[in-house]
Amino acid sequence: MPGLSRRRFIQLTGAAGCLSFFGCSGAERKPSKARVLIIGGGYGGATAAKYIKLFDRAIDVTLIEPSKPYFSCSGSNEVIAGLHELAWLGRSQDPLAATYGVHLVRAKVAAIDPSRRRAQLEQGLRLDYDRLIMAPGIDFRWDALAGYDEKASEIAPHAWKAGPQTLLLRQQLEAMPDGGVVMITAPANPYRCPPGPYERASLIAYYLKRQKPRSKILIIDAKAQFSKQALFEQGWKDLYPGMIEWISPADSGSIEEVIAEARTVLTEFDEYHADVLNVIPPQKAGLLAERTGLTDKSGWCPVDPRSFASTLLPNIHVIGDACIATPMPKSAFAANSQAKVCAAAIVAVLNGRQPGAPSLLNNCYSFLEPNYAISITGVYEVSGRSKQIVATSAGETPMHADRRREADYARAWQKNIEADVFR
Amino acid sequence: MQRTARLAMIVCGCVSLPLQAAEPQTARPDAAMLSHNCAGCHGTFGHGPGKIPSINGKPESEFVRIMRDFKYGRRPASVMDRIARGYKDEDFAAMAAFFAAQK
Repeated sequence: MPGLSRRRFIQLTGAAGCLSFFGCSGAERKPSKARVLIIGGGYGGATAAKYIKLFDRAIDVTLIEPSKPYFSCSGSNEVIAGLHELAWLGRSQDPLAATYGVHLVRAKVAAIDPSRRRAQLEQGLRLDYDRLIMAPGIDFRWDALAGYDEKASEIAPHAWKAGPQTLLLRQQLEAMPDGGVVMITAPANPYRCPPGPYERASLIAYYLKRQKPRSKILIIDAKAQFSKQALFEQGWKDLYPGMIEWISPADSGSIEEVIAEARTVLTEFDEYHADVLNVIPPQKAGLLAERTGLTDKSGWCPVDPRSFASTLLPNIHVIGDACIATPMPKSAFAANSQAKVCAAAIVAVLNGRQPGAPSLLNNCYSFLEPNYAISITGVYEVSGRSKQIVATSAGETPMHADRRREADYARAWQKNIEADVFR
Repeated sequence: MQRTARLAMIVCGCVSLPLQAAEPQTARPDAAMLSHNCAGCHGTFGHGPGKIPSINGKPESEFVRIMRDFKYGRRPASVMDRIARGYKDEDFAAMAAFFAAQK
């Protein structure tokens, strides 16, 4: 449990026994204003931890994240293409403890008891909270695509959570002979990182063009259109003519079955074979959110976008990929922005103020090669009338814009968002 | 609802977040709310090393002028023009004051 000694941990959990905002005044330990527990140390959770402390140091913030390092999914397509090593994606939340006084707990949460406002850790310890922020990211619907379960992903990797899966896909590409076929299946909306499958195809093409130029890439899509489509297709024509083929369900029908050992995908009308098969499966909110009762029929978590409070359970907020924040995409940038809205609202309420109006932002870059990138942006607020998130502007890189400059910005963004979230 | 009554309810935990709707016509996000989003690209408090310009400590009038120029298409851009169009002119003044105060 780096960053938190066992003794200190027990003190904390003990002190948390008295839950009410003002009920700790008799305790020996200087009472905190309130306890906020955050589960998940990715872009959403880590941002929330940092910004609650920036807004009000007197609030006790505990961040639970079992993975050290945590591997950023953003940037993982560059690792697959051999532009960086896996370690480049590693992120640590340790600076949040040293700089802002966030308590870090390296553990897995077994269960949450919303009525007692308590998280049960797998090691048997309990943590009580006044407010809980869930940032569990995604999990996969292993039962949604015939033939594709967790075991199949060891043969046909998803590589949609960064880490060993990222390396597995890269190794398969490296082992593939020249002239081979790489097949990517892309899921229906919503899923993590809408332009991700197409950035992946682009960067794999960048690798193949240099190392195995007779190879081809097939994208079998569950949807008839995709994010930044015109920009990607223009880029593929310019950079990788004839290399990338996108197959719409309008042509081949829906994706019916995966036969991982044979690296085969069956659609309604066709059968496709590949040498390397990357299946990006249908997704849902992280398992803990589902088990806690925070998800609706869609598998994602409905929230009030003014605070990202769950509409299903009290005192729990859900941010990042797991929550329903339509029309915002499920992206690192969106999670960072949602975390700030959530942090500001919680700090306001814990200080007896009404939360202010939210403002939300997203800006996602995709690389087509190291010096060629495109972006999609959205500015959002919450409608006073419908209480829904509405885009006040949205747009993509103009067709004539300088792609090299966008690539420079994309690299600068990677550095700056890392610092804004984890340091 | 009276403010005191509302506060009492918050303290009791009887009201889940968020509270009532803010007045739809008047409620703009405050300066901090608007400005912390910029950190996603420009760095925390507007201080980001690298090719995306830092915006901390920028004089207010310059900040507002640049944002208006982005919004109304008077300044070449590939990203900031799209983003600037999502805000009201009054938001630029709020953000300008926020970033001018960051050293």
